[in-house]
Amino acid sequence: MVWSMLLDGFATVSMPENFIYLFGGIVIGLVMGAIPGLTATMAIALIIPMTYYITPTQSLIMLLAAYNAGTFGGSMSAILIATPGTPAAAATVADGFALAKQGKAVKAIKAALLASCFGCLFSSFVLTLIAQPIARYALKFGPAEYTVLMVFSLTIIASAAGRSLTKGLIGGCLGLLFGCVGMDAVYTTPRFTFGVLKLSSGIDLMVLLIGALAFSEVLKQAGHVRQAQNRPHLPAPACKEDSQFTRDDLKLSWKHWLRSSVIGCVIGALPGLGPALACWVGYDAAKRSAKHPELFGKGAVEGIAGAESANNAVCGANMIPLLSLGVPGDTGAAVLIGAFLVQGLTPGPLIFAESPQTVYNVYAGLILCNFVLFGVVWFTYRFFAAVARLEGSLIYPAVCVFCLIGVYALNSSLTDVWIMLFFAVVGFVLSRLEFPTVTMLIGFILSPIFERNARRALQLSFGDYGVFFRSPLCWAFWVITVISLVTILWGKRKNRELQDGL
Amino acid sequence: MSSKESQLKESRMEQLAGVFFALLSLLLYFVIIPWQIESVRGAHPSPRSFPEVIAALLFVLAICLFISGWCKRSRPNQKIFRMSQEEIRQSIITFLVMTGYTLLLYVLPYIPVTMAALGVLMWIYGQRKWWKLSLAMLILPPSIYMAFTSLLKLRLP
Repeated sequence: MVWSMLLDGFATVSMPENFIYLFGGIVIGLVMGAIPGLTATMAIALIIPMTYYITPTQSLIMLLAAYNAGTFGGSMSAILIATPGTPAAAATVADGFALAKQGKAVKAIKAALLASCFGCLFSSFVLTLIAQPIARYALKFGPAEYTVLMVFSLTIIASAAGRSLTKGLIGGCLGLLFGCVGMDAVYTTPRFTFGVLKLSSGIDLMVLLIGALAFSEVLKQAGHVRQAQNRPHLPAPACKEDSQFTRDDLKLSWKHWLRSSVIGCVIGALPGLGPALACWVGYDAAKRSAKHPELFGKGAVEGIAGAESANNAVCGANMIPLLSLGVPGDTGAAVLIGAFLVQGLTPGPLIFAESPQTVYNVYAGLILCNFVLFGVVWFTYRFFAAVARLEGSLIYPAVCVFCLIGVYALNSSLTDVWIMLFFAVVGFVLSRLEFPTVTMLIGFILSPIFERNARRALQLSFGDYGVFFRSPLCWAFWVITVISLVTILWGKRKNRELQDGL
Repeated sequence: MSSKESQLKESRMEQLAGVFFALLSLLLYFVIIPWQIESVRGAHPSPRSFPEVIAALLFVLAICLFISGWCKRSRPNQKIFRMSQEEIRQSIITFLVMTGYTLLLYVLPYIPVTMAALGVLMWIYGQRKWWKLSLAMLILPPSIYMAFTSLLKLRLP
C-alpha cells in the first residue's frame, strides 16, 4: 500500500506540469540560499504567494524543493566566499573555504552536494516509513492528551531555540496571544479586534510569517547593506583531481554521511532544534570519529560530509512531527504549515485519511528533488560564485517589494500589508534582543489547537483541571517534557562549548 | 559608517524587557482583555479564560526575566547588545519607505509606485550606478505585475 502510493506519487511528480514546479523550487531555493542573509525559510515564505492558485501537490513539492535546495545553497557561499548563506551552513565554512583556498573549491562543492543529497534522501525514507504509524497512534489522543502535547511542543521549542528558556517562553506566549485575535470559536464573540473588521477573521498566518521572518530580516540587514563585501581571490585547481570527488574521498565520507544523517533525523524530528544545530552536532561527530581530526578546519572532506549530511537530513525529518502530529518543528516547518493551510489541508494525523495521495506525492517530490538538485548543481555550480556575490543594494529592495505583493495577493487587501509591517517591527525588536522569533510563530500556529483542546477537555471534565494528569499518556508526555527539557538544555550548553572550541 | 553606537548590557536588557513584559501582561489582564473580550455568563471556560491564563503566564515569565537580569548585573563578561546609529537609521528609513509605499498604493497604480520605492530603497542602500538602478526599476515592477495579473489572475492596486 505504502509503496504503491509512493510509486503513484513518483508518477504524478514526474509529470511535466508538476515537475516544472519542483525544478523552479530548486532553482529559487539554490539562488536564495546562496545569497548571504537570505535563508531557506525566507525563500519559502516569499514563494508561497506564487502558489495560491496552483494545486496542493505542485505547491508543496515546489516549497519543499526550495527548502532543501536553500539549505544546501547556503554551503555554496560558505565555500566560495567564506560566508554561510544560511545559519545551517555555518559549520561548512571552516573546511569548505579551506579547500577553496587550496584551489579545491569544486571538490568542496561536490562533497557538500553529495553529502546534502544523501542526508535528505535518508531522512525522506525515514519520513515515509514512520510518519504514518505515528499519525495512526496520534488519532487515539483525546483533547487532554493533545493539550499536554501542545505544552510539550512549546516548552521544547522554547528551550531549544535561542539562548534563554525564559525568552523562548515569552515569545511563545506572544504567539499564543496573537493566535487569540479574531472570533472566539465557541461563543463567536470578537477578541482583540479593536474595532477593525479585518481582524475578526483573525491574523493570517502568511501575513505574520512574511512580516516576522522576511521583512524583519530586511530591517535587520538594512544597516549592513552599505558595507563592502569580501571578495576573496581563490586559486585555480593545480591538477584535475583537485576538482574531482574521488573514490578516496568517497571512502572517507560515506560513514560520516550515514552517521550525520541519523543525527540530522533525530534533531529534525524533535521540535525546535533545526538544521543550524544539526550541522554543528554532525560536524563534531565527524571530527570525533575521524582518523585525522587534526585536519578538520584545514580542508577535510569529512568535515563537509558530517555537517552537510546532518543539516539536509533535517529537511525531511522535520516533516515527521508536522505531518503526524500537526506540530511544526522549526521555522521552515512553520512556514510549510502556512502553505498546507493555504491549500486547504490541515497537517496532522487526519491528513493521512483526508488526502493520503497528496502526502505521498510530497514524499515522492522530496525524494526526487535530491536527484534534480544533484543534476542542477553539478552543471551550474560555476554560476553560483556570481550569485553569492550579488549586491545587497539590489537584493533587499527586491525582497521588500516581494514581501508587500506576497501579503497583498493573499486577500487583495492593503490592511494585511499594515499588519505585516506591524509584525516586521515586532520580529525586528524581538530578534535584535535575542528573543527567538520561532517560538512566537509556533505559538501562533499552535494557539487555536491548544485552546480548542484545552477547552474541550475542561468541558468534558466539568472544569476539573486534574483531567490533564489522569491518563497514562498525559503522564508520559509530562515525563518526556521534563526529560527532553533537561537533555536539550544540557546539550545546548555542550554545543556552545563546542562552537567556542572549534 | 558612523562609529557611534547604542549599547545595552545583557543584564540591563533583561531587566528592561522584564519590566516591559510585566507591564504589558498587567495591561492585558486588567484593561485589554476586559475591554476587548465580552464576558459570557456561566461559560466555563469562557472566551476570556485562555488569554487570561497566557497573560498571567507572561507576567510570571517577565518577573523571571527581570530576576535573571538582576542576578547577572555584576557578572563581568556579559553579552553586550550593540547597534550603530547607521543601522538604526537605515532600519527606520526602510520602514518609513515601505510605509510610504503602502500609503501611495491607495491612490496611485502599482507599477509607478513600485518603481519609485525600488529606486529609493536601492539608492538608500548605496547603489549609485544609474544603469543598475534603471534596469531594476524598469524590469522588476512590470514583471511582477505581469506575473500576478496574467498568471495568477490577481488584481493589483
